[in-house]
Amino acid sequence: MPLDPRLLTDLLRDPQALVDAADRPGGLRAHAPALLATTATAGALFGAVVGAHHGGLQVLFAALKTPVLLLATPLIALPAVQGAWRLAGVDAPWRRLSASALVGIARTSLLAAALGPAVWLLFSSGLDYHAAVLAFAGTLALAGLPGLLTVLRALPRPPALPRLTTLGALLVLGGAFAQTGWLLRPFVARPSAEVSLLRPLEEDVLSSLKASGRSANGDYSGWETRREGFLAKPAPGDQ
Amino acid sequence: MGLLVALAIYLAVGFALARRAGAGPGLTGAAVVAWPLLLSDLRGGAGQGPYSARIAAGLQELRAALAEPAAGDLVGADEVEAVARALAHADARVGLVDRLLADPHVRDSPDGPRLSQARDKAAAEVEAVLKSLVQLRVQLGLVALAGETSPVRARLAELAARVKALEEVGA
Repeated sequence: MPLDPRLLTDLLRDPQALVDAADRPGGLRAHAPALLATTATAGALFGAVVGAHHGGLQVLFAALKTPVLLLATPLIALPAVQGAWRLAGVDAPWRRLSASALVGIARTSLLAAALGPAVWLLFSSGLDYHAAVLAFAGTLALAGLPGLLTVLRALPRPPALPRLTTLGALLVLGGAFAQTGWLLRPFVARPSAEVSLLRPLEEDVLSSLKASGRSANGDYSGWETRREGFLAKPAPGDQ
Repeated sequence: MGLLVALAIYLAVGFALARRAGAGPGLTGAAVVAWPLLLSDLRGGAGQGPYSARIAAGLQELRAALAEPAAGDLVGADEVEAVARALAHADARVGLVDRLLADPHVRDSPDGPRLSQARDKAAAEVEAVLKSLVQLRVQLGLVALAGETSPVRARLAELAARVKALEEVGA
């Protein structure tokens, strides 16, 4: 499906109008294919740039996984956001939530793709692996914030809505996005590592970012990862 | 392996929902990967409109009330079926126009506002018939208690007039 230039402009300049259009009866049928095509194309472009740090097959793997990362987040976290609104006594219709999420992820992927050349320039200046991971996470956070705000601005926010509800929704969406990225890694593969589609499950995103931050400053401790969590399988020899 | 099976089931559910909704290739692709986000528009099949769930619920409640022995034989099954047919046709027309108006090219065309006004008129008639169905059940309750049948006859006449209006909106 070719990308519609008018849609791309609206995504950047007036995302709320797009949310309103998709929120009308039949609007999701009309707008979802183009919004998802934008997410897939722009997300794949950004993923390919990130995968280029390692090169080879990693370019393809990262290009495939980045749109999945963007799409999986609302699928996992939106019911919790709707629940948070209901706990506060405010109805957030699923159609409105879905419309805002589709526009939000399309906007995030478009902004990430727009930042792609800058990331590529950084990588080509000889950025090491750990700094590249931080650059990837930072770029996604930078591009993801406008997408998150698109979702939150589209939801009903009466004056009585507690701030904790909005903050909680922000944390749930941000946390689900970060942990999904962790589960789908590697996006930036280690230079010495064999290229693989997915790594074994171990620890979580926060421990990794802390270790990457230390490693970027020359302290390479804290990489002794443990296989944890209900999806993780014990390694041979583990008790 | 378990993850692959779960993924296959997820994709198959999206494909089945898209088929049931009569989706084209673009929407089918979107539904396969993101059907939970499209449920609001995929649940109503092709030929259904925004009132399909309320119509089904309203008719089911009316039929259940009429099936009670105390309700008597005031309303015939063929009368209810005529109302059901008229409502289904009107809802399908509203649904079609909603899908058309969701396209900005149609909405912003010179005749877009006229189409939008006609849609609102048809939707208002459907709403009015749905309210009449509720009123009919209220009157059925009064018949059961007081034995007064003339208000039910009046409501039935009103309902018949509204159904006729629905048919005329569609003509």
